[in-house]
Amino acid sequence: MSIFRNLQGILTQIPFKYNAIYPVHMNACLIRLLSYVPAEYGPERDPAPLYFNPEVQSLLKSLTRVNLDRVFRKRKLGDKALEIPTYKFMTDEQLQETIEEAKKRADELLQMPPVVQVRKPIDRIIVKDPALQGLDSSRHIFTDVSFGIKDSDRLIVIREPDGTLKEADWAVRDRMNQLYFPKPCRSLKMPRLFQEEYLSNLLSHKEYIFVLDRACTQFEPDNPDYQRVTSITYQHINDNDDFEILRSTRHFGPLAFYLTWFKNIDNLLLELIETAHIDNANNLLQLYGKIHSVQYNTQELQSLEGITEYIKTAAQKKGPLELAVQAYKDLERQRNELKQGIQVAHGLA
Amino acid sequence: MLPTKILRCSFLRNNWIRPLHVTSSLQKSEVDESRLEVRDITKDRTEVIPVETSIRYLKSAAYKQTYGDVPVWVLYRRNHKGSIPPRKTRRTCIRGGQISTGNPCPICRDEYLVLHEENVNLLKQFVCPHTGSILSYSKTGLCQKKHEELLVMIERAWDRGLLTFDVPFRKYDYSEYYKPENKDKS
Repeated sequence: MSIFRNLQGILTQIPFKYNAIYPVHMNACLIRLLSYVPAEYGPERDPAPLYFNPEVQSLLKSLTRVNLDRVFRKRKLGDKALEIPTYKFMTDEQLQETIEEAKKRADELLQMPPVVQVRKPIDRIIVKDPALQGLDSSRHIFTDVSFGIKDSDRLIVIREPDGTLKEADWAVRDRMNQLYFPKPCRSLKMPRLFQEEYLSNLLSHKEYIFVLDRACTQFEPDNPDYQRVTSITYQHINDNDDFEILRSTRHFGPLAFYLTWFKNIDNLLLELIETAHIDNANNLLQLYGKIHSVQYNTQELQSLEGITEYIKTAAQKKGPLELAVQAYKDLERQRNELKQGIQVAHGLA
Repeated sequence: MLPTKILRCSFLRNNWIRPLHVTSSLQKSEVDESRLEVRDITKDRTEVIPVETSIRYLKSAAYKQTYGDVPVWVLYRRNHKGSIPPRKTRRTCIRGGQISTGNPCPICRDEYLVLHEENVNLLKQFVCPHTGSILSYSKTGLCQKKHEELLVMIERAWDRGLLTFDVPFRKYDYSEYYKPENKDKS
C-alpha cells in the first residue's frame, strides 16, 4: 500500500516538474486531455495594425487557398423550405461574369474574423452622488437604444445603490447589447460547449469549424473567452496536423497568423513542403518575416532558399523539416528527369 | 409486417409474447451482442431506463433488427378516423405510468428509446438531414409530451456541442476593430 501511495505521489509530481522545465511543451503531458495553455494577444504588442495590413491580408488569403466548392457548400441553417435550383442558358461572356460574381461572393464569405488585442477591463466611475444613496436596493442599468449606434459605441452606464454612476463592464455591456439588439446564434449565457470538458470532446471529434464558427457568433473578437477558445482550437489543430480541415474556410488566415505570431509555424511549414506547396511555404515565411521583422530570401516563390535559411536559423523541428526539403528536392529531380526522358523520346532534346 | 401492426395484433390476442423487434432487453455482456432475451410485452413505464442502456441499445443487434437503418419514426403510422389526420398528435401516450393507448408514439412504444442530450444517435433522427430543422410531430407522429421533451433535449445537446449544426455567417465590420487614422495620431 505504501508503495502504491509513493507511486501516486510521484505521478502527481511529474506534470508540475515537467511544466517547470519545459513550459512550452506543456501540451505534451498526457495527464489531462486539454492541457493547452491558451495564449492570448496580450497587451505587450497589438496584432491589429499588422493583421489588417493589406499585404498581410493578401498573404493570409493566398495561404487559405480558395476552393469554391468548399466555400459554397450547402449550409443547413434550419430554414423550413429548400430553395429550388435554377438553370440558365448563358453565353460565354455571361458565364465568365457569373463566375467573377461568384468569386466576389466567395471573398465576402471568406472574410476573416478580426484578430485584436484582448480588451482591457472597464473601471471608470463617472460621478458619485451620495444624495442618491438608498434610493433603491438594486442597481439600475441605463442603455442608449437609439437607432444607428454600433454596439461598441453604445452608452451603457450603471447607477449603484450607493449613488455611484459608473460605466458598465464588458459582461454587462455584452448582455445589454444582446438583450436589446439580439444577434443570431448568440445566447446571453456562454454555451456549455466552450467549457473544457465539452470543448475537448468537440476537438477530439475534429469539429473545428463548428467550434470556431460558434465562437465567432457568440463572442466579440476581443473577448478573453474568444481568444481562449480559438487559441486552444488552433493549438489542437497544429498538434494534430489538421490544417486541411480548415483550408478554404474563413478561419485559416487567423490560424496561420496565430501560429506565426507565437513562432510555432514548423508543423504548418512541414505540411506545406510535404504537399509540395512551396509557394505557400514562402508566403508563410514572408508573413513570419513581416511579423517578427526578419528577412528571408523569399522573393522567388518556387525556390527553397528562404526555407533552408529559416530551418537553419529559427526552426524548432530541424530534423523533419530538412528531411521534407530533401524529399521534395528528390521528387523534383525525378520529375525533371522524367520530363527530359520524354523529350528525348520525342526527339526534342 | 410493421411493428405497430404486430403490436396491435398481439394486444388483441391477449396471450401475447412481445416479438423480438419490439422489446428485447439487452444482455449486459458486451462480448455477445447478438444474443437476445425475449420478454413479455409490458405496458408498464414506471421503470426508469438509464441513458447508457439506451445508447447501447441503439448500437445493438436488437435495434438493428427492429428498425433497420431508417429513423425510428419512419415505420410508425398514426391511427385516426377518416382520411385527414387531426392537426395535433395526442397529448400523451403514458398516463399513470402505463401505456394508455393502443397505438403509442414511436418513442413511447419502445421503452428503451430514452430522450436525453447524450443519446445523440436518437436525437439526430429527428433533425432534418436536408435543412437542419427539427422535424414536426405531424411528420414523426410523436405525442405532444415527447415532442416537447425532444425539443428541450435537442436544445441541450446543441448547447453542449454534442450535436453540431451549421452556424449562420457573421459579417464583421473591420472599422469597428481597427481604426488606422486614430492610431497614426496617437
